[in-house]
Amino acid sequence: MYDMNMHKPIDYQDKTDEELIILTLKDQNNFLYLMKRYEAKLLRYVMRISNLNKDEAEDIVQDVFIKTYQNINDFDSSLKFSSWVYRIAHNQVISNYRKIKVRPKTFILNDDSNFLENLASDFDLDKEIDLKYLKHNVNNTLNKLDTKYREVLILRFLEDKDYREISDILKKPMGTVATLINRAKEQFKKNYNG
Amino acid sequence: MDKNISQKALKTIRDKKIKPKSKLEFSIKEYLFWLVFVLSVFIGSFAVSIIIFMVNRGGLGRQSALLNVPYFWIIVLLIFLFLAYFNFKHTKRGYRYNPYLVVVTSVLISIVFGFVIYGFDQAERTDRMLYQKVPIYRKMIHYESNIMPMNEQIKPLFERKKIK
Repeated sequence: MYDMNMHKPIDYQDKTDEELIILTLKDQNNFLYLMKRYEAKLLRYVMRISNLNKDEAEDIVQDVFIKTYQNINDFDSSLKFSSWVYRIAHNQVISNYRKIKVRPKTFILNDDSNFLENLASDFDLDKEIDLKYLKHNVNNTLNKLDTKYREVLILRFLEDKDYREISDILKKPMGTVATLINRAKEQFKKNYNG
Repeated sequence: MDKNISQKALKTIRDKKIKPKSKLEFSIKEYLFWLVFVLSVFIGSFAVSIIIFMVNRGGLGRQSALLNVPYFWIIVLLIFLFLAYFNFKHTKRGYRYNPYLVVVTSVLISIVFGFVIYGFDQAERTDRMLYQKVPIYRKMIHYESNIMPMNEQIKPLFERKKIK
């Protein structure tokens, strides 16, 4: 892509999400750069919260991008674009549950040793425990959690979102998010030790 | 495979000629939520003013106190408080506020404006107008004609017929 006025290639890497939105409104092809920036993150997030297989999760992410494009004029610049697009993904997963009427029963932890370490240090779990043992137990413990608790833990510890971002994604007040995280931790600890 | 999600999405957007919804559509939706919120608080304020009017007229310390509790208006107030909360929550940033804070603020606004409306004698006027023009309101509201000082003009409407 070239900037016609400057005769220099536009460096989309340097553009912020908000700048890419403005460019998308001028030319829909620019939306591709925005999608590329988020497709891996959203695919991982959708798989984590839904326990769908990769193909199904890809369909959902595709729908998320189409919805994002349709509603791009509704983007509130007081939010981070990432929070907004994660919110659309969260809603799309819920609407998918309603369609197939199945809630995720199991959660599979794949490649997230960072998550385990974060979780172990934050939850004061024994850090000397073998990672494999920890991974197995964390999987089991997460599977036992209520969906609402599992999702806040995923957003906080896997997606590395702060409270404000989680509040914007789940459309809940920050106080409620803090309460949810605390309860999720308590339930996690209880299940993990029990 | 996941490398193709973006291209596939863009292809669908092109093939189905999907266009972004207009800004106006979202603005109208947002204004509607605010409008219904403001209207709900306004109607809630009227409900409060009529509650004050009825309680003042009837006097809660009397034997018929329970009959004088304006249940109808209390229910109206609760319905419109719920509507106010629901609409506020659905505004763009409404979710950021604590639900209790939203409800308490709506109640406080309704009470303050309720006193203002009552102070300007609009509660009595509204009650009278509804009584005269809305038959169902007449049936729902229990009037104790012997305990209220009343405007001579409407007194006959409230008086019970004497059985000869």
